Amino acid sequence: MPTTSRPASDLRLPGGGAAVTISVDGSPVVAREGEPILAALWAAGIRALHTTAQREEPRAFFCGIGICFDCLVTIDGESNLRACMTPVAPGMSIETQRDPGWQGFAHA
Amino acid sequence: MREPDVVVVGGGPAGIGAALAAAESGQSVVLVDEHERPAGQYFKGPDGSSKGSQRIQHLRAELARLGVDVVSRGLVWGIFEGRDVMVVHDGASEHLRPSAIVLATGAYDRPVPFAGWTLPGVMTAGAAQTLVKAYAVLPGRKVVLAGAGPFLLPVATQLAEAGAEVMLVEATPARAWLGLAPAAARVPELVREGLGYARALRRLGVTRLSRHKLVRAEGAETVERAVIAKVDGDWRALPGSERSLDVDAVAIGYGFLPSVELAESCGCALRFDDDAQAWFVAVGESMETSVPRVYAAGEITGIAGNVVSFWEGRVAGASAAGNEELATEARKQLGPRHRFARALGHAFRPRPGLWEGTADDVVVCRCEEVTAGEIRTRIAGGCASPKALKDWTRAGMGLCQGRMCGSTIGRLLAEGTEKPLVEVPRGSVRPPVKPVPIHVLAGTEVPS
Repeated sequence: MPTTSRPASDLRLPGGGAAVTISVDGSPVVAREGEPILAALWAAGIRALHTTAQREEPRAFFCGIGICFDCLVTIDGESNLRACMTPVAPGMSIETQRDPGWQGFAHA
Repeated sequence: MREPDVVVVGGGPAGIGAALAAAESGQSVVLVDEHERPAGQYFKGPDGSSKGSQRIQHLRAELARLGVDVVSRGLVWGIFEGRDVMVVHDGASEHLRPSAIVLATGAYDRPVPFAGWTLPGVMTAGAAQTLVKAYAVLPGRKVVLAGAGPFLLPVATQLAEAGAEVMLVEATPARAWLGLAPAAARVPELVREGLGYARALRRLGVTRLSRHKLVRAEGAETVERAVIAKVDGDWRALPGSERSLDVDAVAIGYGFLPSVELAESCGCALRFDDDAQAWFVAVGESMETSVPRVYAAGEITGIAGNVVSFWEGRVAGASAAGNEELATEARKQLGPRHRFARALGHAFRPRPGLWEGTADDVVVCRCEEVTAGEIRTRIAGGCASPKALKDWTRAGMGLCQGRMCGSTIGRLLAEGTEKPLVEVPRGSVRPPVKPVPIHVLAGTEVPS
């Protein structure tokens, strides 16, 4: 999964909840309890939250408020969830996802 | 099934105003909101000492004091027969049958496709603001914020105050602001707010370019460059005026589209607004829609900002409760503010050049990855409605249910069938109006 690394503090501003550790694609990421997963991943420098089914393009969020469904990630094994609408909890396991798309249903 | 007097959908300023006015009138009220707690887009963010934060904390305390049943992280996925409200929360579906409904579902940034708009780091102005204001995370260190209208001013200010290097790119000329003077005379608080942002932008050293727009975003895995150009009065890019800026985030804000899906799915009549180039919920003086006992308030009835939304909500909530006196009081707050909102909507209305970036190779439907070219080919081949285009191309069939592409598809149909947008058929909206896990619906008896 293509990601651009940067220091976690680079985009972080003061404030927010207590620091907690979550897992993203198997690596530990420091997040703030209660913030949306989207904020934690963006601050950690993770850019491609999912890769599209047809064109295999990296995508992140567009609207940030639950409308565009372009911040889809897999959370504790459940796919296609909006990172902008799901708050961080300690121990959460997030995976950036390769979208199955409708073709995934052809052989189901 | 519960039978409260009033169900309010949406916990922004309009929904809160409606819930409070109905509860003050002695009604039992359920307020359903999709977010963690009532705030809406205007008041989102952590508790603090700012004026806005104190205001929303006070409003939440009022909701609690008046016994409003607030259902947070709740989704109204359908309204049947204009009275049966279906809610999902905590992984289960609940059926509410109130005697009146107030819809206050708000608005979102108008999506406008251009080359590179699907790159990570390209986002709406609302998204950039949400990140910095509500979550204390910068969208980027070097940000181009492009668009038109008053909302860009607070976003640019908040980004710059948080330490981002911001370039504000406005399609309108500087004199667009001066034209507002006559309508602004009666809303001094809004004028003060606007001038405050203008001063802050100068103090913070934000570069401000009028009569320019974002032409495209470039980058490999994330946005790296924003290409901007000068525009004419119709917002068309002037040849030879392009220049490229190194950025790590791009935000665009060309006004807002109302979230009318729920209202439309339960049969409320809409009205077309020429300035916004969009459909809003049609309401009368009491904020009642064409469906009896279903009211609408806030941005879904016309883009006018948080203060108008709150007072419209109070009119709707009081009217739903049959409290004419309270409704009349609230209505007094609206006149000059409505006039100023209309003046803003006209001054910053989208011009035709806004859509010239929708080239054939640009993805229009982000969910199903359908390009403008594919859609144009189908329209030329006889597809004359969003329904036909959905059948042939899957455009509008993804998880966002057409919220991101619907307005562009309407525009492409207008262009291809040589009709004004107001005459282009709309896509049908059916419950569930947002995706709901199938296991939640499996155990639900749908009222008929």
